[in-house]
Amino acid sequence: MSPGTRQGYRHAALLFRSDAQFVARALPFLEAGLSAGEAGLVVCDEAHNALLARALPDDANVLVLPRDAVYTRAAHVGVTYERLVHRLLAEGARGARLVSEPAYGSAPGAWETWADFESVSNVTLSALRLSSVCGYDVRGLSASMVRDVQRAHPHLLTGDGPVPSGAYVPPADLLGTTPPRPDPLEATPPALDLEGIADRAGVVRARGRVRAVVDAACPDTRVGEEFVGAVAEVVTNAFHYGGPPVHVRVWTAPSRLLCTVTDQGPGADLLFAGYSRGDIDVEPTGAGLWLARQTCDRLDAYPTPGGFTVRLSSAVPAVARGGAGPRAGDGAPGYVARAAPRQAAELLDPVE
Amino acid sequence: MWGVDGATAGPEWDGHLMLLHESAAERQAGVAAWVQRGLDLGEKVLYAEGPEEQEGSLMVALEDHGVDAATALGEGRLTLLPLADFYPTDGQRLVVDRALAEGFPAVRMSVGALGAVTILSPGHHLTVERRLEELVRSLPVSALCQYERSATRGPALRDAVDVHVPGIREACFSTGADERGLVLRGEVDASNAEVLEAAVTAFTDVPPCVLSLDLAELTFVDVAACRALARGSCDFRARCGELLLVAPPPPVERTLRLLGLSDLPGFQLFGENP
Repeated sequence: MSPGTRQGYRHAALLFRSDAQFVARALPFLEAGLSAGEAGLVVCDEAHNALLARALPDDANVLVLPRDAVYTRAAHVGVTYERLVHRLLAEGARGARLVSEPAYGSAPGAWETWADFESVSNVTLSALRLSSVCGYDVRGLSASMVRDVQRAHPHLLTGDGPVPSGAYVPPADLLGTTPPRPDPLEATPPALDLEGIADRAGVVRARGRVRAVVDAACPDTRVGEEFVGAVAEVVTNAFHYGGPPVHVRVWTAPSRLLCTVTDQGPGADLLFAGYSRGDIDVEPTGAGLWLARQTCDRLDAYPTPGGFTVRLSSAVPAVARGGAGPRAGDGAPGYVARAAPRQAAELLDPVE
Repeated sequence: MWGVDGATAGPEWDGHLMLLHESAAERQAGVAAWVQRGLDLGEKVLYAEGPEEQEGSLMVALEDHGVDAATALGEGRLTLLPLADFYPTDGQRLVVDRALAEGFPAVRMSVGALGAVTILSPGHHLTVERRLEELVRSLPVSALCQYERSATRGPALRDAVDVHVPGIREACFSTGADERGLVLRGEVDASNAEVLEAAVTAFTDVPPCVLSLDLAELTFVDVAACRALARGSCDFRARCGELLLVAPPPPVERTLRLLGLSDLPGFQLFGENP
């Protein structure tokens, strides 16, 4: 990583074993950016946010944000950073430097989803004028998780500054060569199995049936509604752009929703697609996949013997919150870790 | 509105309506609900079978949907007219006056599949539609204008929607009017977004002002629907008109916000009545 971050996305991992080590590496990185006219972003756990906030100058170029408000869904994190950086640039910053500690959750598959996004972001955020350092406390990671981090980050931030990560694998090679692992739920009988969706009425009926199954299985109305919306976009895409008949299957478990949508079309390489929204009134296509990625936890697209399949999944929060889960688009984080000159809620999300 | 799996006969079938159907089954379900509504209200129901329809097919379809059409026909509450009688040169006024003179409190009238388009030129057809609109406004009259979806696209759809803005009846989507403005109901996705766009275009084809779309009964929108809202109102908003999106249900509101609709100039999103 070069000191200048005015060009595209720079992406490094900071593997640390103590608070002191974390701050000793993160602070100089942020300070170098500030002295070059860049903005500083800190999105770590509460203790590290406080440590860095105390050490950094108290001015408008430094934003310290609660990480739970940012780390909702993998695809949403990218959108949040895009919005934040564009805003900082519009306000005159020459670039932005981010120190974060990703919160990826503990649900089954959550780590894999996050690690994959770390890799994908090297492509999908490549145009963003952001130098990003992702902090990982190795005391809490298994060896394979550390390896995942090293493979997804082109650079590592060490005591000597940024160095290339020897284990780095370009995302197309890391993710694009094999179909995703089968989901264990797929081996169980689905809660809904709709074959032969071949006309418009079938699409509408499918949407209603998916909604009924998800409503019955998911006490968190927000997660359920978003999941149904994501499935609806994928079914519409499969019907209009793939090839009918479309086959929809839904599995429900106490902690998870899973859906596969298979069409008869040749499919498309969607590995890096649908991470950027574009303008709704201008862009002719692509927004459907974007919306689907934003409204479920994970979306994979891959060829299967029966055609082309898109698989979506979302974690169901353990406690029913009647639509109040901290999902994509949720707003109003409870605090900003320093006397920030602006409201975190306003910065983070258009949803009030 | 009627769903793909059937229809109920409520007040949504009153007024000057555009029945936009994709299949014979959809059309017949809508017509049956419309006829039943008229019979429930004690109205005179006038119906002309279109040239594309088999003679007597209406009666079969009505009976299939549980409408006691034979009794209504016998009692003169339902009358089947020859197509030519439905389009007299001096308009439908004569037909309506005759029915009201029989003592009925109100009249409802419809022509079956492709009738109007087949025997009338497009220009003349629009004239008939405008006359119908005038009748519905001034007399106790309801009119159901049937349009086949596949034959009603692009400019033809916009023309047809233009004279039925608050009266669109499509399998999953319908419009209405209330004191807040245009009411949107049902589900809009890629398959019927074109209809929504035409409705919004026609509704906002006015000098710059503040207009409202009541979204309280809009239960589903996808990306295509959001794009239709944006594009349909594009000219109006470019002229500094303001379009309020009022009371969308939470899933619809989230989609509108995620897709950035509320950030576009000229849109304002209100969770409740403004």
